[in-house]
Amino acid sequence: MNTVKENKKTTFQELLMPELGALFRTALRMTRKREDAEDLVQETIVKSFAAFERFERGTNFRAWIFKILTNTFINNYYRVRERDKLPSLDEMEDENAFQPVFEGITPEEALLNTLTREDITQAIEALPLEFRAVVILTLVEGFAYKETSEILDIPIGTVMSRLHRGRKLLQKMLCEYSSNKKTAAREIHEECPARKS
Amino acid sequence: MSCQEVINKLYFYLDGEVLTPQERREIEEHLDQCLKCNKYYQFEEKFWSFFRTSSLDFPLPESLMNRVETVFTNL
Ligand SMILES: [Zn+2]
Repeated sequence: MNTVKENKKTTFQELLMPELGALFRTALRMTRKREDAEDLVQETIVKSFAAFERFERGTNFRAWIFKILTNTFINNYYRVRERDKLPSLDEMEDENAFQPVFEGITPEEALLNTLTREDITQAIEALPLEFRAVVILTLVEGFAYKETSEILDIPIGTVMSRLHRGRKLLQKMLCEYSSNKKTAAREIHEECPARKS
Repeated sequence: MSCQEVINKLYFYLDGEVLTPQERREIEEHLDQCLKCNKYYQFEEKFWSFFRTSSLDFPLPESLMNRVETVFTNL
């Protein structure tokens, strides 16, 4: 038995296993299909093990492996056709970036109470990839803006603008979902600003 | 700091990003005094923590665990 290789494998495994859940849920939100998500995680493990010599010990393993995951996704799973059915970046540019979507709504509690985990998942998955990736990495996985910019190879200013628009878009969608529900209070339907635009 | 400035910087405040300690203090002082911004802040804070909690709550499927085991055996 090759001890050097065994050591490498053990070290890798110890670093990887605590991140497996995060890698899978991220893969699932990216691919939107469970089978694809499992394939993506598997591919990420194989690739990152092969590149493990290049990982500098003591640096951020989590950011390193997430970068491999997102790169693999963009290269192998993300098809151009996905872009076609989603709103373009330009359409979003028109939005007033700093207009609070929920300003003026009184039953905020009612809104949150009507939303489920499935609504959140559906809303994330409906986001165009540019926004989805930034939202998942920062708001779900807790990466700092700078780490997210390194993982996705985009400037930090782009992270900030995509995150802001991603948030507003999510709130709009979730506001819609909520007001479409029978259980939702009628006043949400009346007051939800997303209904008016 | 004006209401508009507070609202513009609120996500940075929530994320613990970008802002200087001085700016964070100014936002906190504003939130203590302005009911309108405070309500908005409370909602955003609740909304995004709900968003995060809902997204994290996710069990690993058995099928993935089996796959990972096989991958490691073959590495
Ligand atoms: Zn104010």
